[in-house]
Amino acid sequence: MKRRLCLLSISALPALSSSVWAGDAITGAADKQPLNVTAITLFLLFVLTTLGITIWSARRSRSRDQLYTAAGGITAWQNGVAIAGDFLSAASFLGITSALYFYGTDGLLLIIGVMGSWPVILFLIAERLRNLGKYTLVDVVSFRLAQRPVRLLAALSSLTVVIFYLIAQLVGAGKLIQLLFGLDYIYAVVTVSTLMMVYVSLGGMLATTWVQFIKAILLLIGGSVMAFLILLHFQFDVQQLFTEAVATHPRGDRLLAPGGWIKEPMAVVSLGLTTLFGFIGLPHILMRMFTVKDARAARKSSFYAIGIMGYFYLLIMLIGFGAVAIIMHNPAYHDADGNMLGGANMVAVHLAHFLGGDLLLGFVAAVTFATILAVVAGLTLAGAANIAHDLYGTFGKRGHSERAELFIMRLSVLGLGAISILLGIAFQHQNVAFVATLALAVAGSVNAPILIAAMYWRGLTTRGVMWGGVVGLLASVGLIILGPAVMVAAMGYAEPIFPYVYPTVVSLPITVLGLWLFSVTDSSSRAVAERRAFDQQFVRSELGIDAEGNGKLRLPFGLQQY
Amino acid sequence: MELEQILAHPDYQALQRLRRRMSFWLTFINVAVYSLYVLAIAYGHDLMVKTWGDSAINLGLWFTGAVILFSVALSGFYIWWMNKKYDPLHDSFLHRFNAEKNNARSQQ
Repeated sequence: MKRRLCLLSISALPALSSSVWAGDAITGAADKQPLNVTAITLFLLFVLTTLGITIWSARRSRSRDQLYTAAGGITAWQNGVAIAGDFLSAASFLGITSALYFYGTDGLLLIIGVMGSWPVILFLIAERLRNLGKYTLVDVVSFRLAQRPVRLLAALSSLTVVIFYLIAQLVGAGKLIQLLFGLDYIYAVVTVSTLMMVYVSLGGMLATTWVQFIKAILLLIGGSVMAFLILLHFQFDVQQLFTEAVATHPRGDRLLAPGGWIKEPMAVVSLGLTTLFGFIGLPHILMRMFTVKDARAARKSSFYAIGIMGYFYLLIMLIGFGAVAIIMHNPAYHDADGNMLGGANMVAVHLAHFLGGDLLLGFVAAVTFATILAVVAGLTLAGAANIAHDLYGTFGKRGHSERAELFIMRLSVLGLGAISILLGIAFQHQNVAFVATLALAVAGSVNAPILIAAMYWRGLTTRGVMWGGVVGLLASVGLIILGPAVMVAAMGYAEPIFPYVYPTVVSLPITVLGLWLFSVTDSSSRAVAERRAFDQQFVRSELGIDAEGNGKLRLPFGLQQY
Repeated sequence: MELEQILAHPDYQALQRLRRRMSFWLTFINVAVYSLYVLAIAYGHDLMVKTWGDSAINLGLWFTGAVILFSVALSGFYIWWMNKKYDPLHDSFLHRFNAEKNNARSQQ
């Protein structure tokens, strides 16, 4: 989400005071900071703990079920915390805080995007996903459709999201770690990628979930302590906090007015659509629904997740606006020109230093590193499952053994890790902001509508998915390239052909139209059979019977007769 | 065929309709509130800056906090409803359906 933040800032750049983004931590040059001993000690502690967990998990990660989904053995509340952890990335914490700090109210859109889309996942997706799928969202999309073409398309679309998200996270991570820890960019990228490969290939979903779980707890503690210290600073008077923030910020009371970040109303709407649907279509988050024992546990974990996220975002509001009131004019955190030291994403870090000295600074820096690690591990696992389960499992040697698939899965983890390191280094000095836009836009314009249609629309056919998916992919990728993120920011044209950073306002309707048009005009015998199979799929998604889909019947209570 | 028996079973139909209505209306309410928020940020600049008394906290901030709490509350309501109302019906349908099938089998 950090990339998204930077990206939007680019679209609004002409309207900004140029000083704000001059030293941007992600897109601009990052100054190396002196080695931060507290942060490194705390981070090493985190790494040792999580490596211990990985060794423990490795013994429980020997089958396909265990490696992909921890064999459904994660409890609902642990999974809920882990899901919240996936959303509360370094970008949420640092990026949204900075967005509130510089732009005020418009930054809140990023918060409401998550809070608005997650209930939809709960009401419509979570339980049925658990009942229909086994390891990935592709299982669900291809449930009653032709396996080979649909798996190919859905897996590629899901992989696109994963890989672009991964690159975006890693390049941002490299720069951030350089800032926070004083580690060289290349060392930072290699460290993150190597640890991620170890967690995922050895410990599978069990280790990945625990890493995310521990990190989420640490982040919640860090956020709570910061919010508490801010309230203490204002004698628990929230009115005072906002009054001082308005008095301090150069935009005055316009700080709390919309329009500080994204001027064009239609661009706001497109961002709103992208977040609503984009978060529904994120493969690494949907995959967490398969790590619990049944649909009821999936439902519960979704609720724990939204409760935790709601709490944390309320803290972020206090932290973001509190930072304006507390550190905006503090010379200790700005250079002679009034630019923030280390760049615009450092707001939360400087605030932590002001509130709790080197100790809290070190804690926040270490948690940020841990956060990046946990999120890239989840992404890599989802990507490797796409390659090994969806692609190799369908197109590989017929009748291959489970061992062969697990070998491919571990190989894919190493492959994804190697690709991330190479691309991370290649993109070090590039503006990669568009990459995360691409990930979220593809998730929202392709994955989400296909998933919802597959679950709820009887008329959907293989042909509809193929054509709808292809035109959706082309539209979302094409419009991003023609938009300000690539044409203006990356290629240097003065004016983009497509005016908005997020293409979803156009590309989502195109996908939906494609799905509909190519399905209703499909009168092949395959299409007839696919429509007929909808009842069976729907009953299974509703009742949760035969949830494993392999002849072994799994009932919510001791019935044996199905 | 078992599938057809389930589909034709009045209890299944009632169960399915109940859940469909609940999911639809909750999703509708949630998306409506979300859309209202996004549209207010996009088009309602003057409305969102309204304040009361000498407080700096404006309507936009109240609205944001309210949407966060509302999303959690709506999800909480769904969980409560599913646990209390839906799950017992779901379980009892499966039990009953199973018992009916066993009866039919033993009569043959």
